[in-house]
Amino acid sequence: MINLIGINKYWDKTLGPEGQERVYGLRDVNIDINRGEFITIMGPSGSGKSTMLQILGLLDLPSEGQFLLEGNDVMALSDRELARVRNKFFGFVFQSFNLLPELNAVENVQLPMTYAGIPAKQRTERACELLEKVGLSHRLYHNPRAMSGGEQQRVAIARALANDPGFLFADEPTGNLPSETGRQIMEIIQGLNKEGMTIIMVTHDDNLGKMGSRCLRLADGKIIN
Amino acid sequence: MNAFILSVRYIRSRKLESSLAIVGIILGVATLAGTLSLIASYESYYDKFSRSPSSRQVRVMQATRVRVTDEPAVLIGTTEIENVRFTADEAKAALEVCPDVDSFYEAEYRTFATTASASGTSDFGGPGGGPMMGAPVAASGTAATAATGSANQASGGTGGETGANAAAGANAATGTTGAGSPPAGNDAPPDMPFDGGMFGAQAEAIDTTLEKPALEEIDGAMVTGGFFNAYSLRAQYGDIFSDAGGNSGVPGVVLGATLAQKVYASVTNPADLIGKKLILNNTTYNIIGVLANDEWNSSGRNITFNEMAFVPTYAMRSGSAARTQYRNLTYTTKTSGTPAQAAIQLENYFNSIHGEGSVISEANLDTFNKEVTKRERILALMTILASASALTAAINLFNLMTSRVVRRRRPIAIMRAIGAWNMKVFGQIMVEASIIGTVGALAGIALSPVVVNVLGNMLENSASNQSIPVSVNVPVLIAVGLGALVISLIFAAIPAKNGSSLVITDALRAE
Repeated sequence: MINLIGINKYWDKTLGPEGQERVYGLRDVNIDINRGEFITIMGPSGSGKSTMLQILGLLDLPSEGQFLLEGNDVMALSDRELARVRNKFFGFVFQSFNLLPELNAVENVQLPMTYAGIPAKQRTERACELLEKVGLSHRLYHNPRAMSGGEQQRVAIARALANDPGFLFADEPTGNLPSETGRQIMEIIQGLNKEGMTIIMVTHDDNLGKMGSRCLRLADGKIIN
Repeated sequence: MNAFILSVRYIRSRKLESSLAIVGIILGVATLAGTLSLIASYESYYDKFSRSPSSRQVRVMQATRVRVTDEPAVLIGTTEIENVRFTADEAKAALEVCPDVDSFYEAEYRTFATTASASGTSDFGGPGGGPMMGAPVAASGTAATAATGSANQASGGTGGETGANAAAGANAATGTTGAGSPPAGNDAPPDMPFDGGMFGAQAEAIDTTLEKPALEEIDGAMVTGGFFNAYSLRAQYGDIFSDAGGNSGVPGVVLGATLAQKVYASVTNPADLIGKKLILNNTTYNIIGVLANDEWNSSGRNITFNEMAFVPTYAMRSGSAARTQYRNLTYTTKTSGTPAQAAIQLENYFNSIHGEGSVISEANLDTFNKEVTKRERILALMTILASASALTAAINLFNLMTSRVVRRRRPIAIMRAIGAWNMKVFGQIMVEASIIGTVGALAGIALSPVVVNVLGNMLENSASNQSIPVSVNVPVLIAVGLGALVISLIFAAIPAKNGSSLVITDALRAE
């Protein structure tokens, strides 16, 4: 369970001799996310959707407020501890897939397990299993560059599932995909949710927004519903 | 997927820029390791030399002095060089006058021809010389005639030196025994009696069983007996010669350990050489000793004593005066004395006899020191340039790693997003830099012996007086290699730190 209490995220921009301007990404965000939920985050460009996802995924820390993960305050964690939380409990799927082009599909999926210290043999077995699960058993040793967008996104999903995390963060996961491929990706994500995984997904698409159990609408960094 | 494999993939993905960075390191390391290795090589040789018998020796020789007449009108062209010869008596007296020296010798290095020639040589003289009227020609008949031109010349000769020379040549060239057929075209009958007078000893020395040496030329030296003591040379077989005893009879020759093994192809055991004859520059010598291996590898004219033959100075100088006078002298200092002090004492002493400025003395150690210093100055300059080259390679690596980190901001951010903590990313980048650094350092070290040889040859070929052997100094190579690796890592640490501490969201946002 994730609890955000009074979260603000801002950046101080220097404006020359006139002084500084504080730019808010999130304002006074209070939200509880329970296990097994499928939360979609929607809003216009610049409303803070991605910032919200980054804060929730601990890719960035809030400027103010309290972040509780399973009741534990994560604000005081060190870089290494935060990396461990992301590695063990969170999975990420990005709009532009973000696979490492130097590694093949299996190696990309193995990477989070490497950071978790899982032995090589286990890593390979698990990576193959996950790729099979997303329908890529025939593309195990292919380079991302040799794959279609849909295939790359499926590898990214397999990578996100590597350490069997409780939370999956998806930032416009179908944004760069044709509609049919996007539909297939969403089926996979929905399937994961049905298996008990908590999904937090940023989307522009109203249809996708409706797929979640709850939709958070943002405007100017604030939750408006 | 460990850091090493990922790093190799990253390096391979940018082959050209990685290769250029590696080439830069190779050149820097090879030049630096090569020059430092040469310096170490000279230092090590100097260290060895300073402990060797040579280092305790001081050479005394005539100064090239120009004497000017008093008449201004004929000032030009009226100069002459004085010749200084040291007598045995004054050489001995120097031992009393100069407290830091305890013995002396004379040595003159030269190359000896093992086969005799018809033409007379300036060296020829002493007991080996004399009008040996055709007697040795008995050694060979037709074989001698056919074998060498010198034998033919001998046949037309009128005896004396020419006959002796030709005989030696015939013997050496043919390797025949005394049971040759009667000579054809030779004026001297085989049974012609030789002059058994004052040259009886020499005549006896001409051994008809002489075998042709395997070497046509032998490097050697004319030395006095003190030479062997001065260099701590001792005989492994037979004996060395000393200054004691008469200067008559068949002179003895002492062979260096290595030379002894190859002077005669048929004699593999050096012990068997003792008593055999050897003709050097037309003079027949009795092999009286074979030296033990000289552990100091002392050398004259760039040939080690192990490769040389030593004959007494008197054997090659004609005239009784020449035999009791020395052209140059070398003194050995007592263990308590220093060569530099001894050089001053000797120079003062001999100048007091022969005139101020007529004699100079040089301590071998000082001469050697000058030679080493000359080379080291050049190498110091090279080292500065090589260091600059190595530094450039390090800066190049810094730039390479910086550009890679900048280009790889997004993959780094992804790695951090999925669980890599900043030190893990730092390590990943450092592994990549260390692979480049290690490959460059190893290849540079592998190339450095070439630099040592090329640079060493250039230095030694241009050296004016003395050639110093150069060698690859392995500890120096290892130290430079490790140093290069450490510097590579230091220069890569800053981009690695920048890369590992980037803000994930900034890097992910930058599409």
